[in-house]
Amino acid sequence: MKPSLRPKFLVFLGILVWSLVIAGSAAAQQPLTIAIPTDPDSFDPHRSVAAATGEIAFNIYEGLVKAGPDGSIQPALSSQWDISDDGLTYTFQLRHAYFHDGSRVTSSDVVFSLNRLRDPDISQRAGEYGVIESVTGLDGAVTIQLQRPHGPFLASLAEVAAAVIPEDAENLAQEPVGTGPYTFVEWRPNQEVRLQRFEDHWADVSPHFSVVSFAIVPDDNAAILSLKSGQIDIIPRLDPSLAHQVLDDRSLQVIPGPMNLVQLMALNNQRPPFDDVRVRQALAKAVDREELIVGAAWGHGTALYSGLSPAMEVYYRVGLEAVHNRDLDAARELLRQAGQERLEFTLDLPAPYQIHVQTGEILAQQLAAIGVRVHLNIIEWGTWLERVYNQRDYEATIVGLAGRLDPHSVLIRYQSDSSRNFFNFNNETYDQLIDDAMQATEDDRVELYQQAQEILAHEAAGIFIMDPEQLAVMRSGLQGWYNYPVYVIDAASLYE
Amino acid sequence: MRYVITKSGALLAAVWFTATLTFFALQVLPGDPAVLILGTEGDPAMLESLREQLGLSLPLGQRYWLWLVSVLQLDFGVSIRYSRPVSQLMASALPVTLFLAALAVTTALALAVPLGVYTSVGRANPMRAAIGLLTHLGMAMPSFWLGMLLIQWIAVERGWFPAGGFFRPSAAGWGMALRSLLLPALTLAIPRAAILTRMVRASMKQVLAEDYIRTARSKGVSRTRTYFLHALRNAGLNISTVAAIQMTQLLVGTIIVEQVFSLPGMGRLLLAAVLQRDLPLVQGLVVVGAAMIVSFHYVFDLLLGWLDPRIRFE
Repeated sequence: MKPSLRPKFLVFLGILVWSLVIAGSAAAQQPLTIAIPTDPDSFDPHRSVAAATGEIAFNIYEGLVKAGPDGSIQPALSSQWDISDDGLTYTFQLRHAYFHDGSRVTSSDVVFSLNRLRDPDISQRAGEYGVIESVTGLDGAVTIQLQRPHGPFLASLAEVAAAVIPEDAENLAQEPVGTGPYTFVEWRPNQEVRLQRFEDHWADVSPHFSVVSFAIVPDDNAAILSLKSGQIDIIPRLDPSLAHQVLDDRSLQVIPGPMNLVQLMALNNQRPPFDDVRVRQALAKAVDREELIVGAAWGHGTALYSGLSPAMEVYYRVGLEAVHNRDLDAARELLRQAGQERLEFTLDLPAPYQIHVQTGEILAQQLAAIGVRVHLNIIEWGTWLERVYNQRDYEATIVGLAGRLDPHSVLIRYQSDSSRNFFNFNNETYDQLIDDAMQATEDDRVELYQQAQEILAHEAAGIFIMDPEQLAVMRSGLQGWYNYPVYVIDAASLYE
Repeated sequence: MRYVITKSGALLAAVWFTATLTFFALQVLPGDPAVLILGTEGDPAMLESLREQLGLSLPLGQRYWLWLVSVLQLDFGVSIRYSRPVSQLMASALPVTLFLAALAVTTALALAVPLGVYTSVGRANPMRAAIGLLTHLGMAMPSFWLGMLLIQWIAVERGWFPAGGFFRPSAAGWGMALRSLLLPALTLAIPRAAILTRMVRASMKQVLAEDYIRTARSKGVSRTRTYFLHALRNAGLNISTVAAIQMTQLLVGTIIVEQVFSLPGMGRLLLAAVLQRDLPLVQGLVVVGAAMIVSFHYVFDLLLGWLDPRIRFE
């Protein structure tokens, strides 16, 4: 008898249905698509704090000045400015510029924006701009009066938070209105943020791409696959451990640059035995940074010996690698002197950051060579922030501290009374240097910050490890990409 | 009627209980939204002012009460992470997840029923053995890995489907929307199909051993008619019960699959909300999710009673 059930027929039917779907429409004209891992939080520049917002908002908003690709301070809404000799009065000449809603940028908009920025009831960043005494506007110019000289002030005006917004702006969180090269079109959570070229931007050259889409792709592997399939054009920050998937692909290009991030093993300087400088120095002498860079960042990183990245070219103190040469015998001797031959401690590692976790795993092996036992404790990010960072309840941890345009914001962390000094580092000379630098002239600041870095290295405030490379991956043919030393994406400079 | 009322009461109680549990579970987790938003740039003064703004400085009991009152008014509040109304976020995410789940269930059933029936009838042969092996494989494969493989083989190398992201029907047309959901649906469907195939096979085997099947065959009823009309109908009760349970697990599975395929659905929203301690959003998603699952089972129970009069409810 002939079997009436025909599996082959069912298989054919299945294939037929699927191929009908496959033979769908051809891909429509696509905008320039940049993959980012998370959504922005709010487009109100004074309320937003998420890094993801800053990198998009850089294209929408502008302040009086802005960051250049090399970390320099470039003119933006102000074409030129003047700083009084006592460092207390900043006068900015305004440019002829328009907001995205078509209105002219006036000095009263600038006054409004800066006052809103330093209003603690509205702004998250009010504290950082507390040095401002007053802001006054007079036809086409704005004068900012400071309470005391503040070296990093100009750089702080280049932050996205110091954006100039129209005086009558409402609902900026969802409908930002700025003056930047791109206007906001829409933000669909977990999908994309879409921007369009602003035709009335003050710059002579307008951006090449008329539409830019920031696609939110949470998974790095998925982002690579989307890049290979042509669905996205750029991954601005690829995890170095995935670099091998793109380095041999000829249709793609990888542009490396320093990230201006300080990755370190932070030690709780107040908790025994890390309150003993010999113990910290012993650990500093036992670390093999090259091995960590190869093992955790696949070779994409620069070794660090103090608290500033070489990306901060002018301020970076060269030659500190000799302070604590790798010397296992000397390390053992220091531990012996400190009475810590059987040192054991717990190293907290923040789970979402693969690079820190891997660094910790390798570091634990390296320290075993001098008889130190490290207990690895991998914890979730929220837990890390609450317990390690805010409560300072930890022995040691590995984390990356993001750099800024000015060394002050990075180095002030190690000042003994800084609220961000979760290392509990305490050194009077250091405190004095940072205080002096705030009031000093530019040349003196360089000198003072270099001395500060020397102290951090000698005292082994933490075990400084590396500045991982920022790997921007994009389809070949795209040009004009810049890896900024701050967390922004400049879409306006791209062309093909 | 009495049954419907008590059942509805139990339904509401279940939703309330789940949501309350989530509310307090999130309080126990270290770190609050303010801590997570500020990250390593925060200091105590900033934390204080942000907590104030987010309404986190109120006592726990008061926050719970405020939340409960607003949920009863169907107001889920404003998401901390996305600074927009929770209801708006859910309204855009829910259709994606439902569309995906429906597609996945259809695909799973379309694969499982024919395969299950085929493997349950006739003698063992290499084809049937291979299907048996594949069901084991399908159940064992983690869906994030399966998803990656499908993206690599079908989307990147062949370019038949987008490698990720969702195309809205209103902007890209229904064809494109369907195409962007087919690979994730397949990823969700394969493990479910593997379990269902084995279920169909087991139920069919059991039914086929019954006397009335032999009677039907000896009366001269054709094989197809026996298998599909008589046997499958009786095995159907077991199959649909398992399928309903699978449906619930499917909603859980979307959390991973939406992440891998960058789909803007409920699962991805939930993951982001939990990681950011975005309490209003987590609460909204849990209430809606629990309500959906509980009412789905409720409707399914009623449906079973209607399908099979032997099942009676008191």
